[in-house]
Amino acid sequence: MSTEDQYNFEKHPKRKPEDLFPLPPGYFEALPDLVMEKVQENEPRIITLWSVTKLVASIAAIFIVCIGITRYTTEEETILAEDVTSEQVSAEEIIDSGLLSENDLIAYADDFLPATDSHDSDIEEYLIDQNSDMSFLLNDL
Amino acid sequence: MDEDKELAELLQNPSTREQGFRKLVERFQKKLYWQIRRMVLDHDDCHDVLQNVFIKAWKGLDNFRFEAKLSTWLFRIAANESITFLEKKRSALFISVEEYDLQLSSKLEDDNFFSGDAIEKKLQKAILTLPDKQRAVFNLRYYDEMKYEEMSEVLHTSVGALKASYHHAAKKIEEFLKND
Repeated sequence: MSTEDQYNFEKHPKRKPEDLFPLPPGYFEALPDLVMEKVQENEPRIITLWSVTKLVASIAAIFIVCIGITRYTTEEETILAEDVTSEQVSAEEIIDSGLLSENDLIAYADDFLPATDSHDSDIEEYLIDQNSDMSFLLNDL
Repeated sequence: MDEDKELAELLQNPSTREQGFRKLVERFQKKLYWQIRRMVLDHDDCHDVLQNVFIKAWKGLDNFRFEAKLSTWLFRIAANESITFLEKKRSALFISVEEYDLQLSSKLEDDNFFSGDAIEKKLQKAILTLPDKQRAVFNLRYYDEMKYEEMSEVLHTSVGALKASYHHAAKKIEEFLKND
């Protein structure tokens, strides 16, 4: 064989794979039984209408439970929020608590204390009832 | 009666399907085993892949159109399973293609793993340097002497591409043999 032919694998005699790669004795005799065992383990299951119905029912039940849990949690959160807002705290309590600064108190009074219009009209009515001198009030006060 | 037809009849009939499948295993086990073994090299790996091939074939019987050749169908499953196995094994070991092929190459030195002579060992090492699909092309053509037309069905590649692939593979192997 020439040097060039040495590198030409196609000119080498091909050997049987069993002469190249060792194999456990009796492997091919035992293989069909082994494969048939595996195949029977992997036998496709028969899907009956009942099993499909059961599967659909289970999925539906899980879905309903999930929706229920979600709703319940949301409702609970709403109740809690309402509890906080509906809690009535008196103006005196807020003022006496000392937690609000002067500016806060002014803002609070603007937002929550009754408008002073009615208070003014009460004073006005009182003065009229008492026949008070309006010009004196306007000039001196 | 033609052997393929006889087998097809047994496999198509639910009452004789198991009997037919056993015949199929007995008939194709050796060819499939060696096709896979040349790809994965290790016997245990080859055994696992071969079992998967038969299980896939069993599960796929309902979708198999019996006008096609059973052998082509089985060789296709075996080629796909071998390549998938190699990819999975490399990713499971977190090693590159080159590193894994180097591991296999060093295994060829083990007498329990490979019993060929020095020239055969060198040739196997050269084949290991090829990418998976090119290795499959080379093995099917060189060792199994499969026709390009059948190989085209097995590997879902055009005849022209397969011829080019084999030509490149042969060149690379020759280069390896010269330089190693």
